[in-house]
Amino acid sequence: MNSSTSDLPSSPAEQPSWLIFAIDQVWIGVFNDETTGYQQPRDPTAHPQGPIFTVNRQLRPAPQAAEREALIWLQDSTGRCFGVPCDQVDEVIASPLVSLHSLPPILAASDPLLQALLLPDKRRVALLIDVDRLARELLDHAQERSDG
Amino acid sequence: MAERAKAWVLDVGAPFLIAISEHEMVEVLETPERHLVPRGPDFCQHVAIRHNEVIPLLDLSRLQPQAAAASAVNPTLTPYTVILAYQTTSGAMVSRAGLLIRKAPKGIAVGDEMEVVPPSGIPSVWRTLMIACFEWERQPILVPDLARLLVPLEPTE
Repeated sequence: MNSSTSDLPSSPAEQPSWLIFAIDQVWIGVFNDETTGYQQPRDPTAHPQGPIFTVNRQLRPAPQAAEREALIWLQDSTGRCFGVPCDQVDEVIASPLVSLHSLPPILAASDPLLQALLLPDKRRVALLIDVDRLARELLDHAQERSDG
Repeated sequence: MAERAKAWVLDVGAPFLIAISEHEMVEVLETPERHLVPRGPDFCQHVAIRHNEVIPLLDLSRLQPQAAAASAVNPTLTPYTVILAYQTTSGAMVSRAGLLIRKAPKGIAVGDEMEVVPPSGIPSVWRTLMIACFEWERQPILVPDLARLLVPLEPTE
């Protein structure tokens, strides 16, 4: 599934367990209830659900970069929505072939944004992140910029 | 005849060679697929998947901050990966980590008579890891306790 315009299926039975999105070939993962959908960035039928933050592969705020193929909407636990442009979005449905791993201690201790690793298949590793923390980092950064 | 222990000498891209004991070595892989994990420490930015296990990969050439800033990660510089087993404490479960190395490991026998005083000028980060130093082929070989690198630190909350 590349750059398709789509909202997540409404039926829980149809919902994937995670969404993973790629930024500069790094796969980032979030639990399904931490997203509200994904779309093409310039989809005229799409309604903005919140501010959009461009980030780099380190998930640090980045200047507006090259055009990206997709836009994923993330939602923190307080219901705040924000969009992140990315190269690709993919659904990962829980199955015996999909494994979730705790981070090696050296990585778990390095940055609280990192939560776990998801192995959706043999060729990819997705980094499950703390969406609340990412929201705070991006919103704080935006606040700092607006404060000048 | 003095008792000798088997060890593997590794070129990790530091200004000196290091050695690990024979029992720490699990296997040597040629260019396993590396997956970037952003926001890890400079010396641990990638993992490999081995038998469905996530293995952190350590690039010890980037242990010194200035080295990390100066050099980009270049897989062609480190074509081999040594998978090693370690325990953070005695009796703890054995974990695995990978060391990125520049040349194939060399197996040697080490005796007590080879032990030397570590040369001056060893970076402080290496001094904190070092548990011994011996001389081999007229060069100092550091023996680090790599578990010290891999012990969980307090989160920087």
